[in-house]
Amino acid sequence: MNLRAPVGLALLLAASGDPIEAQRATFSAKTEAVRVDVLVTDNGRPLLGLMPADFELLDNGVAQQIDHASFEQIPLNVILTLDMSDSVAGERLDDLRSAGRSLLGALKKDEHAALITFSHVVTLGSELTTDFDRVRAGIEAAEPTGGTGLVDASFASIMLGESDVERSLVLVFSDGLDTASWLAPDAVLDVARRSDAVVYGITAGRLRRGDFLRDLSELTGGRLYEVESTADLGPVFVGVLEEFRHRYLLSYSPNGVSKDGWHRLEVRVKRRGATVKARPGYLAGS
Amino acid sequence: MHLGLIAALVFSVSIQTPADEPIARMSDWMAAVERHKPGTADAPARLIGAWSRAELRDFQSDLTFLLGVVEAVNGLPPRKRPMLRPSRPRPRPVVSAIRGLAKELAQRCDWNQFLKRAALLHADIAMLVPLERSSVQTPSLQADPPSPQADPLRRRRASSSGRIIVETEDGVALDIEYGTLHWDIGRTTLESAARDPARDETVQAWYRATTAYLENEEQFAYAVPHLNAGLHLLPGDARLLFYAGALHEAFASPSVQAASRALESRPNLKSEVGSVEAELELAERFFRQTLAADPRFAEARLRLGRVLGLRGRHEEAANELRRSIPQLGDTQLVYYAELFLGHEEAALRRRDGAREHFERAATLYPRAQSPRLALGLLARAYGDRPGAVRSVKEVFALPPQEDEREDPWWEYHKAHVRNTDALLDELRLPFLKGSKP
Repeated sequence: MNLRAPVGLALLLAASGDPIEAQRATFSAKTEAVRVDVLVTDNGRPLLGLMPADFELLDNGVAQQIDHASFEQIPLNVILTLDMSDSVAGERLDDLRSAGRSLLGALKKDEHAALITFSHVVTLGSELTTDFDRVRAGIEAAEPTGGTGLVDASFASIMLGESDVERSLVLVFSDGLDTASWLAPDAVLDVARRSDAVVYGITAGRLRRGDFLRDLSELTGGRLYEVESTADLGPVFVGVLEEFRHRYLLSYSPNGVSKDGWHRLEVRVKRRGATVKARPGYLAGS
Repeated sequence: MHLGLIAALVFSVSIQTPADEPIARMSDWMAAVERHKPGTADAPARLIGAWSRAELRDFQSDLTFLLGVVEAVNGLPPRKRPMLRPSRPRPRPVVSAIRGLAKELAQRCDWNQFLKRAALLHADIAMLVPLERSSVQTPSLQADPPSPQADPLRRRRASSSGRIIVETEDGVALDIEYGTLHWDIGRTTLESAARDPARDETVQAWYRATTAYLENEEQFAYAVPHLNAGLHLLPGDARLLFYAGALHEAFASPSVQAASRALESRPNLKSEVGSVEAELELAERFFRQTLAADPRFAEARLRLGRVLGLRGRHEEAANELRRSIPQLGDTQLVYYAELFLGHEEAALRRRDGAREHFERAATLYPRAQSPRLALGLLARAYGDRPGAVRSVKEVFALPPQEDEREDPWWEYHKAHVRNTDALLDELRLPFLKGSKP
């Protein structure tokens, strides 16, 4: 009997978090507002000083009235999610710790940071805090071991972001592919679609289309950085923070659209040459 | 806990080495087989384990010749086995000498017992004697040593026809070396020992224990040919069929897929690992064959359920998992079943059922993160954000140190061979007592 045999059936990966009817999302005390984090650039540089009237926002193709376009006014919650699996050892670990310190050094006093480290084990290194020394100590204490539970850790990070009302930047560094998570990638991506958190993925190496961290970054309106060398991590971490600070937070109350299901978002700016990056949509009622 | 994932992947290569003192080598080997204490890396095992790969290649050829001679001397029908050519023509005096050794051996000892002891010796060398590069540091190979710093995959591939083992960890290729030949030699001797392998307890015990060892050590490159040979001899052996299913299930896992993928960019190297879809189909087939051979094999039913779920057949999966639970009788296996059943219930949009099974799993292992993450995801999928945050905070409240956590999910792909040591003890015991197995 030969263990190798011709095969040809398709795999349907189970997703444990199917989209379902859910309670309405609320972003303020009384209105059913939707927040959209938006990055506007012109020739790669952030375009600053835009007002609500400068934006066009379509929710399922229906033009919406933008109530607010906040910019650099809302304190950030930065959730550092760092891969501490076996493959991050030696020089990579030093580079990663140094990059973490650089990022913390660039935060403002009223901003919050948290640390989640992961191998196959997901560990909270620090709760959201303004005591950045505590986060720094967590980074220094973490030691590489085991496999890579990227999907599990990403979910935990998004949930940590959702535990607070402030605007959340989830910065995920991983040097490889998931090897150990229990949660299914599709199910976590489904949660990410419903979340306000914006995920920036940073990876040492190249990811393919369909790789989890690439999808997660795109779905949340963030961006994926693929670095050749971990020596470049420090500037990338700080660059992510700067870019995030230059994002606009648009707020509107959906009008003329259904109250549930997936809503496709299109955001434009009435300026020639401007490029807009935002989440591709949201799931109403989540 | 060790979770460094070593996926050994096999590729084709060839080597050329000069033959060296075949008579002395054969005499040393015979003495080593008779003197080796099973389960130890004793002097006889270390002596044979120190042979170079080239020496082993030539020895394999001489051994095949010797086996044929002994069969003829004993009046046994000749076995069909691949005839390995020596690296250079065997001189007439060498042929005569091996014939003499074979006749002397046939008269002196119980031939079948001797061959079984030989199989144990070579398995012990493969398992217990540190490789020490002994099988790779041949003169011809020293000129081209395995060296990851110098892109070994690229340097190696041109050289040969046989096997190269790639070690990977956490999805990254670490090292490359020629595979040991001791498993091949062990199989050759064992298969020559048994006239009716399906009824031979040593053959069954040897294949079960050694396959369990290879899967437990994640030495996948060796496990595939090992299982092929084992199932050829013992086609209806439920335990081996189960191991084959679990091997393909592991091949479909993210860790092995990542390891295999890490090698895709290397031209002329081909991983034996198939796509997720292909591996899951094979896993399902072997688990079904296991259950056909032994319908009470609850652990096979558990794994069949998981594989069916991964293939999108959730209702079928849930049924198999439900059937398995009362028969499992082991906390760790029940934990898996509860976790998988929760996953299937969630996929079938039965929220309460999913929650119930995840909670049971969490109760079985209070320091496990997987069921709590699953509960968080379930809550979030149904719009219960506070519930989701609460579950994730329970994960954060678990002890931070890995050795204080206990999540059997991390060991799932080795859980089916957690009794490897007991199987090896069982295999060796009759030989240690001096009885004739």
